[in-house]
Amino acid sequence: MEWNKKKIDHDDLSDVVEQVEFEELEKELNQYLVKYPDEKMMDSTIDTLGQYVPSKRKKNIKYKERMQRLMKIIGTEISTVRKGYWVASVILFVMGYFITGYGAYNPVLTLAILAPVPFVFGLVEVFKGRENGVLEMEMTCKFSSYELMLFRLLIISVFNIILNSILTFAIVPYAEATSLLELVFIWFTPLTLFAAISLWLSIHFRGVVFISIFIPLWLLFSIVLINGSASWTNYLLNVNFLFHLSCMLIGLLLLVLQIKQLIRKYSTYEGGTTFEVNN
Amino acid sequence: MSTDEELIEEIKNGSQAAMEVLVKRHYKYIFAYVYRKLGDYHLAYDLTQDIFIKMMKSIHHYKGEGKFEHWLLKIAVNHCRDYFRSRSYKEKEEQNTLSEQIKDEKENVWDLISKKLESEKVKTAVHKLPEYQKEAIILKFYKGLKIKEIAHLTDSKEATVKSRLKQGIEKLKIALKGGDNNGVEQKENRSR
Repeated sequence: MEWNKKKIDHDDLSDVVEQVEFEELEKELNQYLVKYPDEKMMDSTIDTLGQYVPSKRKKNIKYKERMQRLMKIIGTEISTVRKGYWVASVILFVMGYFITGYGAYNPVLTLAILAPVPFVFGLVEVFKGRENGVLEMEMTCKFSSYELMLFRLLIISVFNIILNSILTFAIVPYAEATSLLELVFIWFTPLTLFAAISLWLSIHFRGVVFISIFIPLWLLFSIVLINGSASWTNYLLNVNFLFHLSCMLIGLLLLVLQIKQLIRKYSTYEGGTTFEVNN
Repeated sequence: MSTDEELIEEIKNGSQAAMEVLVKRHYKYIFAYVYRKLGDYHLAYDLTQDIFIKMMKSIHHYKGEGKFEHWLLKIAVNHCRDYFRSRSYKEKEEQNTLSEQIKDEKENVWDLISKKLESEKVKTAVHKLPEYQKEAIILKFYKGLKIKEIAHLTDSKEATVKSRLKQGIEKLKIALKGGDNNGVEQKENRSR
């Protein structure tokens, strides 16, 4: 609608028409409404225009420049992730360390249970543009929405791996019977599997639903792991290499499929709220 | 948020996403101009598409001098002028006079709502104006441009634009008050 459009300058017509008359006419003319094409029709125009976009220039950017650009993007994306997420994840892992150190809990269990948590909660940050309806605004950046999501996925994955690695080194003294490599296997398997499941859930469900589905799943996994009644928990905790390798491969395969789906879904994103502007 | 100039650079480097953002940002601005100039929804849609095609074809010529919106609007102004000079417009005009009664019966729901809001009355008044006056009125009242800017966009002298606006305003005042334009037209013919 154009009722509240900016005031039109009358000064250059002051000798032609009185200010009052000018404003009256302006008000009347504003009643001439425009019936705008819908999003679908606009998209059809955009599709037609696609063929007129020049083909991508192959830039001969130096390795150093490329790395600088990448670091700049990563820096920007890190700043968009809420501080609460970083703090909560670190606190969780510190708590895990102390529970393992001072409690009678199996350190291997702590690792396996905590391993996927930063990634899963980080997904809320990855998709927050969609949640807040600002994906269209994000699209106005130099990167498409899926590229931004992939950057954020990379950031939370690296963060998760760093936390897991620190915790692994920290609990090595408490897990005498298990080698460092075995410890890595113990957290890497649940991480890949949960990452794949949670990514699938977050693509299909919005934040609140996703979290309320994921938390019971994670609790169930933790309880079964603590009870140690299922046979697969023995395979997981006692490091059966064949079992770990198959789980990891399945997890990685599912993860790759989910990332492909994410790219497909958000490279043709049509959602978000449409907004009227004064034209 | 990227500026128009940044988006244009991205488009020149082959970014489809930048083109999408730029077109979405200015689509309604251009469509509103064309629609008010032509008064025909479907035709306005087609012409808006043509304008954006022209924009894409000449994007390399845009040097960032002046507002991009005005550069694009100039393409729209010229394209609409080309259309009014075209054979298809003249043929359509002839058909319109024959089928005016049929057209009234085919008006859709939007037109009915629009009528209630007196939109149709204003639309008719604007479309009764001669092309150059209509163009100046739309650029002044709907795009909020100054006389100097209109003169630049339409390749005319400021005095000419002012005169077109003056005549257009007089006719609109009469038409919107329910009178007719004959008096003004006669006066105009005498002054030519």
